[in-house]
Amino acid sequence: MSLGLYRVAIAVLTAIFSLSGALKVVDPLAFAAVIDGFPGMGRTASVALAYYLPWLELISGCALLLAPWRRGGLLLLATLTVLFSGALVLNLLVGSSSDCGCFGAADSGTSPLVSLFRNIALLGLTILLLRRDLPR
Amino acid sequence: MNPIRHAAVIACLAALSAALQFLSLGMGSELPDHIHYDAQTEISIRDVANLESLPLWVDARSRTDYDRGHIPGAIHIDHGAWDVGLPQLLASWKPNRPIIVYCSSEECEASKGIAERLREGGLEPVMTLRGGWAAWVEVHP
Repeated sequence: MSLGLYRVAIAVLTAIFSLSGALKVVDPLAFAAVIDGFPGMGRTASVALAYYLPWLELISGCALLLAPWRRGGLLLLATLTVLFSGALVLNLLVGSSSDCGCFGAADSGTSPLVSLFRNIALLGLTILLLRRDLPR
Repeated sequence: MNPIRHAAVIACLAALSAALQFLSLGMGSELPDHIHYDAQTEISIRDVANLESLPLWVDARSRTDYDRGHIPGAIHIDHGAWDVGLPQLLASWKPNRPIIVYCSSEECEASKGIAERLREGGLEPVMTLRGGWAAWVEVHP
């Protein structure tokens, strides 16, 4: 991957994850209702995750802009994307049509399947950048 | 510092930010004042935050309106697609989790009809959102 392409990819990931995190930070209870729709989730866990995950996403996204923190940020974003994708797969398996609310209220028209494909694409890009950044 | 340590620092920073936000929004003080919805059939957008359990949203507007935008996590159910919507609702619903049905605005009646049909099916508590989608958009522009 050329340096130019690498910088563009970092900028794209920063924008996507920071925006996604910020949109959920402003309305944690709406995100909590989405999480609560996933199988096995209780109210306390849903509310706790709804407050925590958006901040994790937002700060990890911003960390990509700082070279020394980039690998840590990419590692967390890859983990988060795997978790979100796993939850979406679980939701699809039990036949729920609930969307992931990945972009807060702005994401309300997206189907779970589209969200899953989007997550897989983001995960692929994150892993690609992580592999490039790891010392050889 | 290795990436694992950086990740741990970011995770702690996020936890601190989340805790500060939780405290600043006053959630801790609001929790004891739960809304008791046993005999309630309509709820305002303001009171939704104080429910004992997080609600399950049901969108009773047309499919086109739903596709244009809906409350995050809402399930689309209308009388014409009852057999499609109801199994999806039951897959996400847990006993005692409040169901809130909404339609376009204060004037529409679709939410009341759907709510009544859900109650007749044995689901409870089922409420309608006062002001419907218009009230939600006002608070979440």
